[in-house]
Amino acid sequence: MNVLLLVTGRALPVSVVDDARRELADDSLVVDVVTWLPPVEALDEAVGTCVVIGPVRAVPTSGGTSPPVSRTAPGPSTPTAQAAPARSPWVRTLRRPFGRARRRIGRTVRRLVVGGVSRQFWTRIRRDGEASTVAARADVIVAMDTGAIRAGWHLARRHPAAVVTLGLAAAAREVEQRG
Amino acid sequence: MNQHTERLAGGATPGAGHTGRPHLLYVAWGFPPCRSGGVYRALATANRFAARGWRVTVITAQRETFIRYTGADTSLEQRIDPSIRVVRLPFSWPVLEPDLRRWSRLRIQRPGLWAKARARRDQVPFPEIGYGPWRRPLEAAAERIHRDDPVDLVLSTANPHVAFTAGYRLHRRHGVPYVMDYRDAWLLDVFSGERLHRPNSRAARWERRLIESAHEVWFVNDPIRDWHRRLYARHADRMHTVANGFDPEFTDAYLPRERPSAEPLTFGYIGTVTTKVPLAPFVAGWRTAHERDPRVRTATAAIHGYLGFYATPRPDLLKLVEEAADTGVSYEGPAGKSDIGAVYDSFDVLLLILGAGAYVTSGKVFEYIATGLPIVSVHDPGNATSQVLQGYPLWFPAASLEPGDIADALSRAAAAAVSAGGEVRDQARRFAATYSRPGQLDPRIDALAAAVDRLGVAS
Repeated sequence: MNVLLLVTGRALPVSVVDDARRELADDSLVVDVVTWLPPVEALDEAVGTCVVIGPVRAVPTSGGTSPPVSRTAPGPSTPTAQAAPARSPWVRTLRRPFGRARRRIGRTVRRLVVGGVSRQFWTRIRRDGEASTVAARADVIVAMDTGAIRAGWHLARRHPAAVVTLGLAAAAREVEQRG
Repeated sequence: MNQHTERLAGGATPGAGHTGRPHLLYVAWGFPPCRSGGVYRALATANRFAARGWRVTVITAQRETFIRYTGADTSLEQRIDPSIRVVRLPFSWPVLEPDLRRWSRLRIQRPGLWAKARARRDQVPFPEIGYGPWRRPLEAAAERIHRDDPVDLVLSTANPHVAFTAGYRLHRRHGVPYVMDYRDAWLLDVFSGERLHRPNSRAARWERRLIESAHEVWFVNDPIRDWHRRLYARHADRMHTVANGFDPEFTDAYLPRERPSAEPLTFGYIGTVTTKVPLAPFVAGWRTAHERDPRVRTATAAIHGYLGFYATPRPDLLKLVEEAADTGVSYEGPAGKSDIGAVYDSFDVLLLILGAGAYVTSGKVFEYIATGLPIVSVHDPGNATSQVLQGYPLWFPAASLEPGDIADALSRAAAAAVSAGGEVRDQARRFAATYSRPGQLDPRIDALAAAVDRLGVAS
């Protein structure tokens, strides 16, 4: 059985994959992962395919952890590392309210144009060949957090034979019911 | 599926006919195999009525509801009295639906809007989010059961409060008396003591209407009952406390051991340690007692249960326990229901460490008193549990959560654990007997049997 885990929240630890095997009571389960953030530890032996779909894509390997790099244009949640130019305190005080307003407007515009993480996650899965392939072969698709629900819902419509649930416990129940 | 289970949707099997035994319609949304906390009270109540000669029909939600949403314990179904007829009604809970195929496009695109719309829709039939839509199938089922086999009394347990509507319906249409059993409260926040709904809200108006027509109203402790007595002073006489009590099976499983007098004492706690539980003051008090009292110095304190709400212990709570390891404090993990007798058997003194709450009674206090062991209370003296323990001969409450006061209570309990003779312990168990589930339910069942006999509704 092929299981696909969709994750947008915290960086994925390997224990999540073990949880999947335990909940679904199948040690030989092939677990694929499509995740927004790179996993925190090497998943080479634990999972079949790990597709990192967010803006920061470096995947740690068992040989060592490479520093995360962005392969695509920075997305809205990419942290900016540039230092702000030094300004005198009173200029900063004067500019603060406008800066806050500008940031708020910027966030709203970004949300309207590209959507939040859940919409971006689904958009990137749809456009990514590898993610689409692992989704197509999955018997069970599990949205592991609320950000992954939208992608799970769309995948459910595209792959009518797959079990698609929110959470592992529900997936285990559905699989048991289907025999 | 339980062999006594019937699904009403396809047409109920007619009742066994009036046999001279009163017919109780018991409404409990959560009934086995449901695994929620309130299910034990519901199961014990239905079984006790059946044991006392009533014909009992239970209306509850379908098994699928519990399997999908609350978690199910199918072993609980074996404990249902075989004479009880269980009628299961369909119940949908879209908010908790984990199958993403069943989600609408609106829910995916605008989850906030969907949740608001759903909450409003739920409250159209009855002002209770999630459960309101159950009112119509519930009332229809009650009517059908009454038509097939006339009901003498309806007893509904809440929450959900929609369960009360079945009794109200049969009372209005057919004059059947009904009893409201509150495991919690509707208008009162039992933790903060604040009102949850405004006096003119739909919930408040519904409760007023229900209480005005109820034959009896049950509460789990005196503080909650008294709060309602003040609110509905005209109906105060029909309000009673029916505490949760302990299951008689517990005393069968627990066999107090003979402890050699030279053996170090074991203090024990069983239950969930949340952040509301004053674990840090307890550890400070334990450390003080450890320094002062030679009996506590050789003793250990074992904490059984969950640290936090999940299987993985909360790191901050675990750290507190581990830092006190040098004084004999240890975390022993959760205790299974089947092992509970053996765990209690390993204790010499029980630790009742509870959060504050004038309206909250801990369920474990009833098991604690059933053991006849010394109990150290480490909680705010205003906690409702103090009222239950008043009169228990081996109760040692800390005067406050200061380390010195907790240490005093621990020392007195340690002394009692060594010196208390069989007579005091028997006295403690006799005190506990009034808090067994039958001890709590029987006086009310007798009163209701007399009332039904007098009213002769169904005959």
